[in-house]
Amino acid sequence: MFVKTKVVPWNYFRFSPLFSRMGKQGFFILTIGEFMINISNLSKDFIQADSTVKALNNVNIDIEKGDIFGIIGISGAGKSTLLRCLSGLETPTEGDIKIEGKSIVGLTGSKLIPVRKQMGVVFQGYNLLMQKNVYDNIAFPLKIAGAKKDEIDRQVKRLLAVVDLSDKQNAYPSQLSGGQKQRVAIARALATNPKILLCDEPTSALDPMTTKQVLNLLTEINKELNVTVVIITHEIGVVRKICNRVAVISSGEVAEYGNVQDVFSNPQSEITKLLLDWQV
Amino acid sequence: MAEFISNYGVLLAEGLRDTLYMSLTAAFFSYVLGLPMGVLLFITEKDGIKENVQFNRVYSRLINILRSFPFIILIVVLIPATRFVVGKAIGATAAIFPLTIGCAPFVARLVYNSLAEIDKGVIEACQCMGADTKTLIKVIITESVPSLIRGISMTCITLIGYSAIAGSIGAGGLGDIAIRYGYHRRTPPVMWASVAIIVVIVCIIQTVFDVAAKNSDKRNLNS
Repeated sequence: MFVKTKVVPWNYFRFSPLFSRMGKQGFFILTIGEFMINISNLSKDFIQADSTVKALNNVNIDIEKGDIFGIIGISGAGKSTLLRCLSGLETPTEGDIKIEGKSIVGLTGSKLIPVRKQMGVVFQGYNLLMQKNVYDNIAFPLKIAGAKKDEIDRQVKRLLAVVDLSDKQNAYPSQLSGGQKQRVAIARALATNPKILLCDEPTSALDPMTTKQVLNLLTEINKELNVTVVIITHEIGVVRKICNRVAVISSGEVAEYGNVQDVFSNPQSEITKLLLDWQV
Repeated sequence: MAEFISNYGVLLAEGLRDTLYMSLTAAFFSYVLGLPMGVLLFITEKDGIKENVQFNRVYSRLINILRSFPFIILIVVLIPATRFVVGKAIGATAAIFPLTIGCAPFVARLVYNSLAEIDKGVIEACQCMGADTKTLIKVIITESVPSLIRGISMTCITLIGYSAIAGSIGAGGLGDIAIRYGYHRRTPPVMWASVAIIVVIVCIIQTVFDVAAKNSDKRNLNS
């Protein structure tokens, strides 16, 4: 738990017990926030035949509940490794990752399962089961979790409606467009009602229109289902459009991180300036 | 023609029956053994879901050694074992044992190849959902069904060839007839008739399995 300050509009004061006056635009109040993910001193080395590659070096990031958190960097910066550490696919060499205050590093096998149920992962390449239809793809994590048949049915129908694919439930992934596949992947990631949605380059393979639809969907999920979203991307536009906070990663280290407006309007690090400069 | 059929028809029909009996039964048992062997090969390889590099190295070599064993020698070497398992060493039923042992490592490789075609990302996605090893294996197998079906047709056809070799040392079947009549007794028409029948069954098996593989594959559907 932590205390943070927040600027709210004038009319907000009627509902807030704690406030002090601040400027013309509104009030400056103290709110109590909670951390969803704490990454502390995280390092990951890849040992190769004759050298060690430091993919991540002493990364410290705190992600708050309700954030849409962007992790941006160029290819090879280590952002995917970071996400793989968060999703438990890689074990960090050093450091700790806490989800709601509980460490997940070093958990294996059955101990990792409850952690994984709190997280949904969306991949750039969709990674859908190609031999199963849309319905069964979304039902799959629920079957793994041992849910009952009618429960699965209810949840899948609900999620199909959320991602607006109710008419496609019997289609196979090969019959869908890229954007539709990614929506199925998002529905699948949400099946076990996770608190966190980890997205690895979710829109990098999509055209601008479908990118926009998917990003809108992620925002909607964040607001309506109260899911903390972490997005890995190399596109500034994605961060600008939906993220409230961002970390810029460069050669395995956090170059800077904070609120999106602060970071992008007043970039401190070289890499952020370059990223802003390069955007199309 | 009518004379040929009345003279050799029954013989060829029995040969066909024996060949199908041997190769299909052996194909079944080869998969009983070879499928788990192939799965084991796949999951223990480097970056596999139950990585065990040392075991995999030894195991993979073992499979290679078994595969490179000339089949006709294998039958002879296995005679005592065949006698022990089947109770006799001559005849179609007896041939099933060495056919299975000879073919299982081949099936293991075929199965491995099919499983290795699966996108690693799909496996990772399932791991992220908390799937255990058993569920992962199930997913990998169901995802590679079309390719596995193609492998079955290859196994059956290979086994028809192997059963002809087994035929030459007393297992019966069309291979046996082709050698006995065509080579030892100098009656080429019988040999050609057996060869023609083998060609026809191979074509039928190939077509049937190709259609089955295509129909089971959901990757290339028209939208």
